[in-house]
Amino acid sequence: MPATDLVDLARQTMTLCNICGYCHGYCLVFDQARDRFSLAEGDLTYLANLCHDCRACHDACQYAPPHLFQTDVPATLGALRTFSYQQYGWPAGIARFFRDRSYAGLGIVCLAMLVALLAMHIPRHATQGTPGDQPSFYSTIPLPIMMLVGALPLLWSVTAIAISVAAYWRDIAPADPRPYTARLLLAALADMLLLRHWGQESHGCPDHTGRMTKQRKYLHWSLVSGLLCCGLATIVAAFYHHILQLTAPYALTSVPVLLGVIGGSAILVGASGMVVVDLRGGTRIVRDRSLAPSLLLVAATGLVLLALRGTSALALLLHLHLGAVTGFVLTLPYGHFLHGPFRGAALLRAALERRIPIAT
Amino acid sequence: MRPAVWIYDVVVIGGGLAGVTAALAARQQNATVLLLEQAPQALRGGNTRHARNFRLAHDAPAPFIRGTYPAAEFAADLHNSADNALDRQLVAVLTAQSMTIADWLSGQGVALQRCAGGQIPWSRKTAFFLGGGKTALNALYAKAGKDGIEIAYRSEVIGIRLEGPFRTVFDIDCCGQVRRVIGRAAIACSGGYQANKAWLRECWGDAADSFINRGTPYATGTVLRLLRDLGAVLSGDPKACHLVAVDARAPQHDGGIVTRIDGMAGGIVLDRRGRRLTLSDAIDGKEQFAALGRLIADCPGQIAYLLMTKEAARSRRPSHYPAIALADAGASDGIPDQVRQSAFSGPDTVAMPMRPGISFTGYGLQTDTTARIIWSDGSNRGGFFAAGVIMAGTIIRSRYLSGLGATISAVFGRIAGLEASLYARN
Repeated sequence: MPATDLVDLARQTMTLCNICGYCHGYCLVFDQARDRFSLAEGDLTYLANLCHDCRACHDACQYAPPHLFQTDVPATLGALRTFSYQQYGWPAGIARFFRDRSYAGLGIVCLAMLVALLAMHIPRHATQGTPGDQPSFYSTIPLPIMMLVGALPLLWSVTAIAISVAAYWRDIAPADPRPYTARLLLAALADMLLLRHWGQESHGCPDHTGRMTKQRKYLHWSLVSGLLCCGLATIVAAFYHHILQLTAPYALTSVPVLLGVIGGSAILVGASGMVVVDLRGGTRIVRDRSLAPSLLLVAATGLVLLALRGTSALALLLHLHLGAVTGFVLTLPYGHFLHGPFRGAALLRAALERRIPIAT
Repeated sequence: MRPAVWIYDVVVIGGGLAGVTAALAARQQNATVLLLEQAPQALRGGNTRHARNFRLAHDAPAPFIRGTYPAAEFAADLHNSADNALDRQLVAVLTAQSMTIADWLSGQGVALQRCAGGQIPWSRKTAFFLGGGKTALNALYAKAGKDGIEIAYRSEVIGIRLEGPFRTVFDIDCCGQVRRVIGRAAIACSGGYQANKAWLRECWGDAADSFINRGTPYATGTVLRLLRDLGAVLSGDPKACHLVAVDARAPQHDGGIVTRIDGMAGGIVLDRRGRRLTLSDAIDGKEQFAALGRLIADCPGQIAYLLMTKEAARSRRPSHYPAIALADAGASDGIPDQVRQSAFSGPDTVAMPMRPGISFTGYGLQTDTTARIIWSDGSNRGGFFAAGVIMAGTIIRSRYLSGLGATISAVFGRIAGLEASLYARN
């Protein structure tokens, strides 16, 4: 659907919601749309990024198909949300490539793993350890190369995401905000981490059968906390290496390995659960579907690498894992991962607007 | 439907709030229950699909309702609304039992919207379903399935035979095939006949052709007519119905809440001959909707136009259909010249065409306080009960109190379910 049609459809849909009002108790989306008569494009982008796609309002909707009005709030906002990732994606040419290609990110992760496998066969006489040595991480891939392969994509992605979020924020920033205070920022952060607006108080959101559950909330928490654990593991490992001068591999009971195992397992649980929920719910909207399967590849290769790091499979697994991580990091600015910062920015706007009381 | 004939303790006709409440109440007395719903699953629930709130008496505030609303005050409101023409016993039962329906519905899994947060209109007389009536129905149907109530969708009752005590035979058109079921007791919860143009024409004449049915297209009144032919006593005026002004561009059925025209504030109303229509100053607030609906129903051609300036239109709540600029010859093509050239029309004038929108009919079955249908020969045939709009004409007269329909459905649905199961299993 062309962008202008999508925005018009979203405006028409949310205007209907404003007139009807039956769903106003469900979530922040309806509360923030309420009485906003004009619903400018920035407002709609903002609302789209507040929506959790829990679909409680869709099950409640008296105007949902087969009704003549064919209203579908979560699908409409979902399409607009996906569109916003590409609209603000940087650079625009790459973001455009990812548009409507739900599995492009996963393809790139697989490609990166393939490239890493091919790289195994590049002769590296100068840096290889003496024959007969137990293979180790750095004898397989020299540390500077590993750091380069890790750092450059990350630098690129962080830059691209920062540029995207800045452009997006310019369009959705509130016209008349409260002054920024630590309390407001903390409120927005707490809303984001606690998923406070997801699942209408304690009722959860409907699964594919219409039953109210909290499974998506728990899976999301599992996935995000897993990601955070893995990030923390990397930071602790860097501290070990550079400050404590301890060289990897670290013992199974060491902090970085423990964090990695917990994080990787949590990602496995969260991501695989989300893939199942996604498949069961049917593909209602075109959106990036690569994030969860890509994370599965990253976590699985990491955990297998840990399990088999003392064997001859080390080189193969290390290449696969590094390839998966690199591909994953490179695709972050163009897919569903943007949901994190975009939603965070939307929650910040909600906190900055004077119309709602701040949660305490 | 598997066997040739089914026998149930209780057969419930109609799957709106009254029907599903009756079915649950009967099932909870261990009766075997069949719920017949004429609509397909996606459109189940009659007009409850469009409902939002219900009226209840309460002596203390709760998270979902403010202040207090004593049963005596509720009763007084009802008697006032009907100029003291109501059956006092029915009103007493309704208002007393309304005090327990919020808890009862919550116990079946229905979520009520909390007052905190201010997302719902301030109300000490009505409570709001979180997500509206359709969500309440989803919860009640889920409970019905779990409790072991048999639910037959796309099943319309086309024939009823009263074969004696504990034996009422129903012919059911089930997706084009006629099946037969037998109920030891039965409950009619099939609503009004507002979707039945032929019946409306009998009382309203050609004016009925212009009515827009705001709710379910399945409110055909078939069962009401079958029961009348069998000798059930009907009460009320056949012309009685709840009308409001709706946008003339609304769909013929199921437009629900969003096609309603939000009163005349900021504008004036002309009929198609360009004559101005006015409401008495005494009519205010929500009653304007209904008064305007009746006014339009009495207009020539049953159409009227709300005219206002663009400026005034902008300050109103947005509408689902755009206001038509009279200066725009193409857009205002269907608007009569008498309106376009009236003294009230200028280059800045916009118009909203309006039709009478019918919410429900008020002519229906008479019941006693146990929801039992009253028959013209004074007998008690087959344990036949009724709940909801099909019998609400005994309580709703000239004026409608917000949330009353759902309350009548829940209160008398529960009574009917209980009484029918007691009758069937005595």
